[in-house]
Amino acid sequence: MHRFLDRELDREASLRVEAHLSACNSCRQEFYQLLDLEDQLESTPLPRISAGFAGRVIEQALRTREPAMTLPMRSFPTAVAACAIVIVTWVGFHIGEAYSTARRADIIQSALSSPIEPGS
Amino acid sequence: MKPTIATQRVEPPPVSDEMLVERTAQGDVRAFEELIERYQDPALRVAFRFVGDPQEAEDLVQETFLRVYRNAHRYNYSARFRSWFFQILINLCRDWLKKKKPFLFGDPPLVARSEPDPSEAIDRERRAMVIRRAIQSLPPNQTLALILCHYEEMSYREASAVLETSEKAIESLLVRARRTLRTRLAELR
Repeated sequence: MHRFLDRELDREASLRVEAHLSACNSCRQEFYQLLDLEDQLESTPLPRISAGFAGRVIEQALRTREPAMTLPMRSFPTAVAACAIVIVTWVGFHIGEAYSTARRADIIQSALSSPIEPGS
Repeated sequence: MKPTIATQRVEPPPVSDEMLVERTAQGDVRAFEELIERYQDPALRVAFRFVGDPQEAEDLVQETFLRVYRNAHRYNYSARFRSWFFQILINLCRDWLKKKKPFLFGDPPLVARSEPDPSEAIDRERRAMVIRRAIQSLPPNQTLALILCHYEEMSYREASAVLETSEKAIESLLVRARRTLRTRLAELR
């Protein structure tokens, strides 16, 4: 019945509830009581937002932080760290590469310069 | 004869809340202002019905907008802005309740004093106060479900997203809230 009252039911289910309410006296009484309650709850006056509210909120928001700056500013340290890692990896890789190339050249050089033993 | 072109003015489609929050995240203050204009009244209604004090309610609404502004870049675009907004407000209301000392119902009069029949106005104020007290004395989740579904006309689905619970739980909260209120407000009929 609460789903019916809150218009949460589809058309078919609503028709079934309506049919039941028209046939069942106790459910109908229960439903009328719920409707009375709904009427009662409506009768409460509400305050209004004070004048200049939006202006005050905006002023305070701008004083605290610029959202457009927030994301880049926050990611700056992460970006610097990422760049440092990439540079170190790149330099390390190339130093290693240069070293192994030089090492290979030495080995080839020494192999070529050493005399070949007969029968070996 | 020259054919005439229909010059009916076509209104541009309203900018969605989600678009406005995206612009707010990029620093567009006008978009933020538009969000405030759209949501300040429903937010105040919800907060006031929960806390019962107009000034406290407005402070909570102000803090909600400030959080929206600060966290606009974190907004998840797959969720509705309205649900996200009310989630922030409801969380602030819950925090307020935890910190708040037992509430003394001052209930400043909200009805204009220039009523033609003062006794009728006083009676209306009294009834309104009794209803507000009855709603606020419910368990917090029942109060919130009632405020969202009854007063703000949210669907069970949307209210369940705001209160981070199931639709079935929302229905159950409403049933219990209405049952209690019917008993407590019987004297007013």
